Amino acid sequence: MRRKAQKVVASKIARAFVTLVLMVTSVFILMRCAGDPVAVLLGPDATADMRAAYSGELGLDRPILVQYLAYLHNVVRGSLGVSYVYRQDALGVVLSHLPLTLMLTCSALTLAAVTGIAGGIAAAVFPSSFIGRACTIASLVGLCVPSFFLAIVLMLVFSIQLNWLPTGGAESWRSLALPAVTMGAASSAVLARYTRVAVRESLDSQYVLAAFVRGIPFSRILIHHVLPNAAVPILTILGLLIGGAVTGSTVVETVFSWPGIGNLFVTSVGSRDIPVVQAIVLLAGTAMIMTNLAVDLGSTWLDPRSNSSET
Amino acid sequence: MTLPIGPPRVRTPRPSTEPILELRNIDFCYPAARRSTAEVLGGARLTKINMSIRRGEAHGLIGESGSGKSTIAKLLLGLTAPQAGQIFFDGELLTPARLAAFRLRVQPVFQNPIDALNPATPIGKQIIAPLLVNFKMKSSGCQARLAAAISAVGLSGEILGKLPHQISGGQAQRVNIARALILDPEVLICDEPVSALDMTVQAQILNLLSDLRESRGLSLLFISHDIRSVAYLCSEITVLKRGTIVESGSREQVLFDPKTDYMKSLLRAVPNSELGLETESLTSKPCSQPVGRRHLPAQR
Repeated sequence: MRRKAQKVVASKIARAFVTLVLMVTSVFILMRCAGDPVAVLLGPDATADMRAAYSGELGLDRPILVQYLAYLHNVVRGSLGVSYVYRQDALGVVLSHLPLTLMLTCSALTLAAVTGIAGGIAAAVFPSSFIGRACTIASLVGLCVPSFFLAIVLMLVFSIQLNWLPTGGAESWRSLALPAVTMGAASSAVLARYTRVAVRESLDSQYVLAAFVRGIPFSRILIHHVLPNAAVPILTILGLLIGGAVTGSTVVETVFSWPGIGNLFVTSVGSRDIPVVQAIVLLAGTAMIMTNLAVDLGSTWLDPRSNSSET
Repeated sequence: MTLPIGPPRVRTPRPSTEPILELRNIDFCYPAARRSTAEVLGGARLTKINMSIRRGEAHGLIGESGSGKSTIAKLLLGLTAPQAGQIFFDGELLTPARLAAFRLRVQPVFQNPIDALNPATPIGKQIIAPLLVNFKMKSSGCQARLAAAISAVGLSGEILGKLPHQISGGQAQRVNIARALILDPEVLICDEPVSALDMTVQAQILNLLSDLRESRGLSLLFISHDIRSVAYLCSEITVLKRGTIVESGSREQVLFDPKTDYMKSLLRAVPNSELGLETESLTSKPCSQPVGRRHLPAQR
């Protein structure tokens, strides 16, 4: 049994590694297709000689395959190149922006997890009550409203009209409130919808009915029968939200001028700072893959059926 | 509330005319929003249902899909309330206040055995859960009862640590029966308990139910759309069509001398040999009398 579990974990890790290599390759190719970074970095007034010299300095004059192999070699050694703009280690530039993004995403996801899961459970358990209906409607609205629109509305109300919170920046905890709510709202809505469906499905199952007619109290049924069985789809969605949060914060960070990775990504794409863009994509991809791996392993633990061929 | 600990009591079958469970003039209709298409098309609206199950009796409830069989099971399990009429248990009117105690004496066995078990909980824990919760027993104190329940359904202790997906459908249905038996109920409501199982396992489960009824004096309400299973197990049969009882009586009356065209058409669909309807078998093996193990006729 233990051996089997180890085999499953090993196969999942191997799959994650292959995905990572494919992702690194895709990013490398896409960035080379996005135009000549030298032209953008030197501007329209640069001469052909200047461009050629700068291209040679950055190693962009070598054949694409050589560049790719060199890039892979550096990635394996833990070096993601030097930023064309900042003239510093690209990974270092990205990591210096990471704490602010983590602060934003952690706040947003905590808010989303608490409100989304609680709202989804309430909507499933009390579908006809005021609370249940309110949660269902709120989650639908949350799904329909785009982040940039919600951000602008919140900014208009809380920053401009009421003057309670700043419109942007990352000066204090007050600056975090609006971006976190904006980012958390969409995730909360997604979680609430999936939680409602998963809990409803579990509530309608025969094992819940069987527990009920055996005199087991509803609270115990909910905790011991419904939630453990509804946890797998909820965990999957939560994992996807966590994995996507690093890059998903791009719109919110841009609107609120939050100096995190999302903001850095937008400016780096604009300035064709390929090493920084590649570092961000690699980091975000790794986060997504690791989260998915954790979700896979968590699901296997929560639902033993997903890891068994025994009948 | 206390529960006698130890092996399940063996009740001598009491041939009794006294009903343990009785439905009187029951009318029921699902709220419009909860009606399925089949129900809207005419099924599951119960009208003037009068039915009684006597102690130690296996009572068959037969009818086509959507005729209201499972709705009667829900009413009898207290999962829904009738719009009109009364349900009596052991001579007493079933009221909301008596529902909790009633549920421990009337236990269900569902159609799909695997679905009726929590996929994430080991079998043993699922079987003893009602004892832990309802009687505040400790897990160690339930072991004798657990062993008795498991052995009563012909399973070994090895199965207790397994999860539902690790056992077969037949084993799962035995586990469901054991889970019902651990509360030492007086009535088992079996809602299509063999329809999701293959033929050989169907016969084993029917024989098990028959043996349990005989050894424990259990009353059975056996709901099925399969007239062969009902004919094999039950001494009394009620026939339901679109929410109305169209025929009711002893096995011999209903199978041998059907009054309605509907019942005649049901019987025509099954060869007599598969129902055990030969005159000899009817007179020599009445189903509610203690008899030796019968064998389910082979089904095609």
